[in-house]
Amino acid sequence: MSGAALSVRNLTKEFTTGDVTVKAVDDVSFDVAGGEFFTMLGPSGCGKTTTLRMIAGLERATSGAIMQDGRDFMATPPQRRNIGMVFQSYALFPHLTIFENVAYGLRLRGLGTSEIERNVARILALLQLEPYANRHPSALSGGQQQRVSIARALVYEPTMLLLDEPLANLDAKLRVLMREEIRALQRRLGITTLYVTHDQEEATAVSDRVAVFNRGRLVQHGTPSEIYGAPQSLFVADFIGRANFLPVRLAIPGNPTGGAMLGNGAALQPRRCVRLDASEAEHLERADDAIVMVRPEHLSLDARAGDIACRVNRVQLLGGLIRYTVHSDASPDPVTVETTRPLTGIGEGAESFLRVHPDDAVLYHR
Amino acid sequence: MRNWLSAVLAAGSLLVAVPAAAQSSVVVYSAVSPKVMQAFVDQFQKDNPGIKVELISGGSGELLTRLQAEKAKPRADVLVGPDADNFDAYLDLFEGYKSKEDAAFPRSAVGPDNKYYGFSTNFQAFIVNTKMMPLDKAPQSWNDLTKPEYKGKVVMANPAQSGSAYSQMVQILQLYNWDVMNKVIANVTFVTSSRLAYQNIAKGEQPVGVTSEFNILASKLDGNPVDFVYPKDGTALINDASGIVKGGPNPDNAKKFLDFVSSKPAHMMIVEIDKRRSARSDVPPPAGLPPASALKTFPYDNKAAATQRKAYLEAFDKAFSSK
Amino acid sequence: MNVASGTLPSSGRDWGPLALGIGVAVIAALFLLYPLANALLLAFVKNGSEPAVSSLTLANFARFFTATSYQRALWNSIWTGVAATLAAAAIALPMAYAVARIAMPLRGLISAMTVVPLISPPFIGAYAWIILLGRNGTITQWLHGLTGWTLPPIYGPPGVILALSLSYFPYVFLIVQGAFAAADPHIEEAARMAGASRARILWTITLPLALPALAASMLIVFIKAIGDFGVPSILGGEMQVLPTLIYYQIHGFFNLNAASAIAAVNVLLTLAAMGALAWLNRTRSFVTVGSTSRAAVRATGAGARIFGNVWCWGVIAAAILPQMVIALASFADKWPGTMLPLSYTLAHYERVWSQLTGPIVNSLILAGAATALCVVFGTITAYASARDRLRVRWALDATIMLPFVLPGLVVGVAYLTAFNSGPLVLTGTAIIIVLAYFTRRVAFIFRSAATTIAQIDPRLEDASTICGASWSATMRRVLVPLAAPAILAGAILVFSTLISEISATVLLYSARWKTISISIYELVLGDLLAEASAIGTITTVMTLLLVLAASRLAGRNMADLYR
Repeated sequence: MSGAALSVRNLTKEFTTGDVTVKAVDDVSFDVAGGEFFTMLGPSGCGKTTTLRMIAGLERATSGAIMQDGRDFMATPPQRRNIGMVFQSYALFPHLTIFENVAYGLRLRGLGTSEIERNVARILALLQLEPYANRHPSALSGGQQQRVSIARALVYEPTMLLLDEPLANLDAKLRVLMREEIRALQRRLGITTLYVTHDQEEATAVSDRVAVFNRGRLVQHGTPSEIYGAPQSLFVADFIGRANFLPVRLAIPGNPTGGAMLGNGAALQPRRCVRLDASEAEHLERADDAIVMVRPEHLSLDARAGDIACRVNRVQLLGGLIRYTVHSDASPDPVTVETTRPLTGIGEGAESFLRVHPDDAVLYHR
Repeated sequence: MRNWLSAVLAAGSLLVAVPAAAQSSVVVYSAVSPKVMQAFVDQFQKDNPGIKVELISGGSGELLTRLQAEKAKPRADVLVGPDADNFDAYLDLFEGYKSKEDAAFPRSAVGPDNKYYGFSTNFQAFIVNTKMMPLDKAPQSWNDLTKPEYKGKVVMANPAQSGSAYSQMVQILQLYNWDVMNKVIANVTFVTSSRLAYQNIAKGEQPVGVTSEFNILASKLDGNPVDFVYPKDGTALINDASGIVKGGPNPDNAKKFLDFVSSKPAHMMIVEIDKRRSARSDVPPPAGLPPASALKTFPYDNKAAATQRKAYLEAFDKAFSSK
Repeated sequence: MNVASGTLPSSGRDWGPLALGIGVAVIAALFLLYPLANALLLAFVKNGSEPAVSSLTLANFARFFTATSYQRALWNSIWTGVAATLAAAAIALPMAYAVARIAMPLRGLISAMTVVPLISPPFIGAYAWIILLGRNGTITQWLHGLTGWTLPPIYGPPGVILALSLSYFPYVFLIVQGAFAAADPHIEEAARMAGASRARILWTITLPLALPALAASMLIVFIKAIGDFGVPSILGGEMQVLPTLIYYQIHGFFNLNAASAIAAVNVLLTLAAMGALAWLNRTRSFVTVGSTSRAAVRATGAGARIFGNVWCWGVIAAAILPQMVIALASFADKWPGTMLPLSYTLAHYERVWSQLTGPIVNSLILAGAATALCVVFGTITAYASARDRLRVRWALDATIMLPFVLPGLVVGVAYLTAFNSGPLVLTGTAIIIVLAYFTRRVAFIFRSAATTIAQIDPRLEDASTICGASWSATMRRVLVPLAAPAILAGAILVFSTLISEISATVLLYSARWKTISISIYELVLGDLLAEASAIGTITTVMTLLLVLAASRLAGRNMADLYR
């Protein structure tokens, strides 16, 4: 199966009701390489599904361009784009058998009966659906229906596969199982895949690259480790994984590289500095205010000394991980520390010290 | 819950209409035109202020059905206006009463045991749309209806559904026999409502219809291009009538109403408002209708019409279905 | 225990379900089953004899094998019924698709206007067709003047089928449009992505999925068509159908036995049609109600929009033409067979104005009371049926559907004979009219409520019960609000068609309870057609306004009420 390359430029979608215009998708641009697993991630209402539907052709863009392998996509109606699509609700044809559901797209492409039978049988086997070929969708479980949905999308060897929150209706364990199956399938077929989800763990677990959306804008895209390790905004930092935000003041106003001061006076020199854009910067009150973000696994607790004095509020055992929630006057919110080794002498209620590793901290300034 | 329940009960009591106890009433089943009946009601209530008239209108078929169904406990006092043979067919539903106005009626207009009194006398005639067919080319007699040149051009109502149409059939049988009648059945188009038998001629749907003379007069007065032909082989003296229902709720008031309906002032209203010929001997016909003396008439066989009804209608049915 | 969060309601025995159950059973037995079973039983009794085991006979049915008029009436009923049903579906299906799936303005208005043919008094509409398409009809003359071509006569099967299909197509439109609107839009999108064109999707996906709704609505049209008296009696010419035959037997001969036999055959026809419907639905147990709040994307192409608008407005124009003509006639002074009236006047309105208030109020009260009764009874029985709580569910279904299927004349006579004397005397009151109305229409509410309740998750009721609500409270606070839109839609239909009910009313009304339809009828009988038209027009306008107000009150667009 081939992997087509997709190019999206300045894609915008506006909805007007009465005299109010809302930008569901605001000037979004990105590229997807052939055979890549590309995920659009964000909270509900962020525009990821609308973007996907515009790529599918089910919504018309207000402005912008969508190109596949250099060809302008927008001129082609959806039924001729040769894309496979999987919906959250599976959207199987209730009045047709599983076989007919999957064969639907093939029948439209003018294949002969025996060829259709062969192709359908092959894809059903691939997805372990052979025993259900003659049943109707209502007789299958959610997970099975989802697989039929995937089979139907892939059987005619499309140039791209689009999935719109395909696992949202499944239970937690099945979700984890299915996402790995989808990933394995995609790898095997090498098909360019666009995936939409609101579950950041799902996104980072299976994707080659992730694009994070917020309020219609594409705020950051990159590999999962780039997104996680170098979030370009407070929003992304908070959305992916867990983050601690410590309010600080710049030592030299206007110069982020000059170091920062925590609330208790301790000095910090985070290696990475990121400039906030206007909408996030406006939360900073004073000219020299800034925020330091540090992940829980990049903090450590020391009973004797450290950067910040704190008091341990809660200790949670999460499988192989121990999470300490502490209170300090460095931050109004509790701070989370995670470690795989239990720290002796530090239990709930204990006084302790937080140690921040500057190499892993990120300074966000205006 | 309680409030809701009492609201429902209050609403329900609205529906259980208890008739006003102060006044007495008379229940009238009327098959006559609302204009005339309204004039009757207004006059009667003026003359009898203590009596309220409760009026139920309907076609004679429906009213007779009500009377039949209500037989075990009659609801009506007086039946006004259906053809006399309706009374003759169901004599056991009616009460004999010698009206105060008895002397003014010819004997042909009074029912057996005084069970009914004539309302109007309605000759059946042909209504011709003169734009579609000149008057002299139209059928001139009942027998003419069998002529091939009139096939499909004449409309009559179905005798089972129209009192006047039934009387037309009885007349033909009185004058002739079933041979002629069967030929008529084969030649004529039958519609389900007597109204269509003249309205459609007025509208120009068909050239000829057979109907009561007052319908023709009314249509003519409305400006429609129609005119009369009275059958030269004779048109029967058919009356429609009024009678008191046996076992009705207000027998005394019933008698009062029947007397009123049979009185000269009431019959003058029939002539003036309805343009019909009164059944009384002392009331002249409306302007526009020829006097009875100018026509060839013969007495209508009410008895045969009543007793043979089932047989006649079944024979009609048979002939009609094999068309 | 008095906790801060309040106390649970006292745990006395919940009388709600028991009381309602008994009430329903009594009403069903006394007012649905008894009069009609009584009437239908007469079909098996020899004419002239009292009903007794000794006088049982099949002679009344034998006439269907011996009398040509019976056979012809039966055949005419079947084939004109089927033809009218197919015509109604052909008219309504594209319209339903257009309103649900094409981007057109004024969709709500279109849906509201389709109610008009249903609410007008029936016989008036038939007269209107004569005025329009008769030999001297307005359209006939206009066409002749334009093209020189003369229309064939309207009397007989063509006129009947035309009038019936234009009167009853709204049932197909409303129900199918609701099915289209409620379907999961992703299913059609999935077909699109798989490569299907719009036409292909329509043929392979949209229509097959709407088939159950289409079949159900066509059944309703068939039932109404074969039970219709007004249209065939006026436009049928010489063609007899079963309802005119019944009328003939009752009013001509007072032969209730023959009439009941004919009515029984009418019922058999309906059962046959229902059987066909059930067979058609046998493999379809799917629900297409989607889990998304996204509505289906509507077609916006110029071609689709032009087609949609032309078809919908064209149909609406044809459908309300009778009412327009009646309105014209109500203003006509002299109209002697010319294409249009020669002169106009307001005199007819002036004359009828004074006689209007009483009948209008009566019609509103009677129709309102009957509708309320239908809603309460229909919802309760629908709940019992949908939740499968009764073992004799099929008996309840049949008892409710039977009177719907019978011509109004039969119901009227049945009530008259059952309640004129004996232990329960109701003639002369408003109650007998309300009950007859209720009998004829409860099936509407029953069906739509049953379908809706079946789609409401029973676990919602469990949740309410766990919170401490009694059964009655759960019904009031959970089930009824959720089922309300569908019930309201049914109630609107019931109310507006009851305002113009005539065939049972004419046999049951007393002077105090004269309705607006009786006023019209009596004017028609007295040949005062212009005045009848005036009242008819006023009734149509008034009912239309009530319907619009009701749907606005429910907070929904007319189009969405029938999802």
